[in-house]
Amino acid sequence: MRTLTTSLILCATFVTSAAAQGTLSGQGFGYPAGGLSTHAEGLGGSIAENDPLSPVNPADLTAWGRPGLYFQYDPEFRSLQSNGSTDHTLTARFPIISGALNIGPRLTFGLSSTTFLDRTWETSITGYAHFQGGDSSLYNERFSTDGAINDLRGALSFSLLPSLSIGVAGHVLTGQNRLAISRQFSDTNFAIFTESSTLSYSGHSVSGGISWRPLSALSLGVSGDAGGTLHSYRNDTTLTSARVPKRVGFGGIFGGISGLLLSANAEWNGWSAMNGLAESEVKAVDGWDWGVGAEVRAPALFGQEIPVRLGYRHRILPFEANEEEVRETDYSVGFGIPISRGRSRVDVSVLRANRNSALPDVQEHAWIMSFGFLIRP
Amino acid sequence: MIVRRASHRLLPFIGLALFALAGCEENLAGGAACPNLCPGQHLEVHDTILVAGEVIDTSAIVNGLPPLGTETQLLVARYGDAAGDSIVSGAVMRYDSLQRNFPRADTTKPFVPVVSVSSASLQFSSTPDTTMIRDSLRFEVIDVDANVPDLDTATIHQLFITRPALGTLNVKKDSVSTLHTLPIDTAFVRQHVTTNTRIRLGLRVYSYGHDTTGNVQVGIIPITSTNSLTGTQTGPSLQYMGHAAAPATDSLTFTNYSVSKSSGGPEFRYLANYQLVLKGSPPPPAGVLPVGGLPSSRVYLRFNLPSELIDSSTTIVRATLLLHQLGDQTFTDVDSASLTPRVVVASPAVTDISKAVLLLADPTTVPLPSVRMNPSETRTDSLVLVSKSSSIVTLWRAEGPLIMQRAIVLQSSLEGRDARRFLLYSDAAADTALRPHLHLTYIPRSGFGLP
Repeated sequence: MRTLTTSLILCATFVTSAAAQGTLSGQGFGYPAGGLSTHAEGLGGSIAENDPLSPVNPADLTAWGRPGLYFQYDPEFRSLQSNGSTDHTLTARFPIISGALNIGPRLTFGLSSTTFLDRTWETSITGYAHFQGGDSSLYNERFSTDGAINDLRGALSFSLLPSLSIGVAGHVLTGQNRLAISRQFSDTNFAIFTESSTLSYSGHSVSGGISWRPLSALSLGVSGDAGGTLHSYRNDTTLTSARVPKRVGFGGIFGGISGLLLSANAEWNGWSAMNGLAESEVKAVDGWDWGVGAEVRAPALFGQEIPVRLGYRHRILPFEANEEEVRETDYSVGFGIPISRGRSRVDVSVLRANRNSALPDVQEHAWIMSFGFLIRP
Repeated sequence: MIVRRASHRLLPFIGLALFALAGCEENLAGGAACPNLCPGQHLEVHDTILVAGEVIDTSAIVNGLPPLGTETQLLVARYGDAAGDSIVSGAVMRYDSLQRNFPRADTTKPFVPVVSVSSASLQFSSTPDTTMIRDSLRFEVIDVDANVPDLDTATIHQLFITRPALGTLNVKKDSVSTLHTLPIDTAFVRQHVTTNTRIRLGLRVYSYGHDTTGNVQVGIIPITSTNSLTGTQTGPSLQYMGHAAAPATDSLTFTNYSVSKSSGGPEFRYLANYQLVLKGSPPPPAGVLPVGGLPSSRVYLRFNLPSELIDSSTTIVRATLLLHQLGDQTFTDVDSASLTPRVVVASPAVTDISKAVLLLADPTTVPLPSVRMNPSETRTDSLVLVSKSSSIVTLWRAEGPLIMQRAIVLQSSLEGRDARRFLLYSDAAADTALRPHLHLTYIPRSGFGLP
């Protein structure tokens, strides 16, 4: 047996490696796709602290006005250029579904589910494997993962004054990553290798915020997430634990110019708190996310004023790629279509996302369409 | 006009809606940036070649297959070499119950017995290999009945050699057909019919050329089968023209078939016709395993793969048994034959290897591919045990070591039909390079998931 073991070790000379992600944005536990409504995305995220549809600042729930539902669909058309070749992928996301209910004249309750980190990707690698007997075979290896860590939020907002509201929220982070790997050799004398795995996540945190309108033309908001614990599981076995990233953000909207709304926002995310959740050397980094935007009134359509939005956003994505920070810059344009005399609304945004790092020869670009549907009976 | 203008204004929205619908079908496949952007997950592929002694704990030769009485073809053959008859086999036809009365239309009347026989013959179908016959062949039939137990073939063997022929049939090479009628001594048949005793006939064959004897092999279909629609039977039959005492004109051709209708188990209990090897293949050289031959042999190989490979989550994606073949120069037939690995489904409780080699999975259940080769060639052969279409390791893992022996049997496609055999170097071969090897390629469970 010792001879055999030795033989195995000695003979295990051929080891090939191949892996996952394959994009700048999909590193680590995935891409932070949620948190902003279509309206906010059209403005570069600059109204995140003052937007009732973006589950960021719980104090903004008051601005729902009446009970309603909101959901959002964000397909992303991504292209990645590396080593002279280009991948084109399409990822369909539903990053937000939320609703709000007024409980009395000054208290609003809201529920939402947002995509915290989307880990949906697939890589396909083709290569030659060479073996001890002198033979070789072409192979194709596929890694894929599907799923996300989602943020389920229950929030309460209370209007202290007509111009001031506060809010608190409890967050449950939950979700799954369904992973699969396969290797298929072109030589039929090889069996197909397949392996699948499902990871589950569970965590919690709390957040709070304030929304203040000191002037009729100025709205300010500030919010933060205190963080909590986050665990990963395979079946009923706890694999790793870490902290939920802390977050603090602030922003404002200025409407002092007729027909024009200007907005700005900035937030800091403590993504590095998640480092304990990974098993490998994957590293999460803290970073700022900031954006500015402007909304103008366009000519009316069907008797309704159509707001047209422009935005710019810059942020550091949570996970490094090959030990290099990944930055994302978004240029966005959008508009909203009021329906039912303004009670409901359809928002549409188009984002051009450019992602880069210090890695040479790697460029990632994406067109992200965003469709938001607000329904208030 | 208003409607027309409105429809123009809607065009961008329709375009966006179509764009959104196009986004419903995901296309996630990427990989252009790997391995730079694909860190963390490693799929390790290990490749190793092991000497069989490290992974095969038992190898055994089992002779005499298929078991007596279960043959699907009775090989009646004679292969000559410079030293004379090198390999000889015959067939035994068993008629334990003979028709000795005329059928009666009126059952109230007594039977009318057969008292005399005017002609008798043995009729059988065969698949002769005419390429081996030189000028002609001769069948001989012998009385091989003896008051011995069924499995005492040594006595029958002796009778085959010592007793004179009851009848002969000479056939020229260009006249060989598939149906043969071999006349038999009528006195012999009459005696057995009238005394109500069984008849057991031996069949042997010779091949003649203008200068010397040659090779001949004839495969005889041993099993009596009955047409379910017409009720007619086919198979080796003993036929005779029987006559009654009075009236003297009563006569009838009686056709007797062997009672056996089934190829039974390894135990000889079905009154079957069987094949008897009178002179078998010579023993193989030292360190060599024979597969096939006459009597046919199979090779049993039991594996003892490391549990970290077979009982763990490791996936064996390739397992190829590399065998080195020693060319058998006894025959120079250019035709190739198949060497087939068969899966043993016997449990470990079956410790008798001669029984384990019979408890095999149907080839369609675990279709391990055969290798076609010429037994007279010296070459290296690869038997694929794990492939895209089948995996014996998956079966072994699923069944577990307590349910199924982790063994295979090497079987020749010529088994029982041809005297040629594969000679494969065993783990006892003097040259270690000629010993069997197992080429394994495996992938340990990657444990992937968390980045």
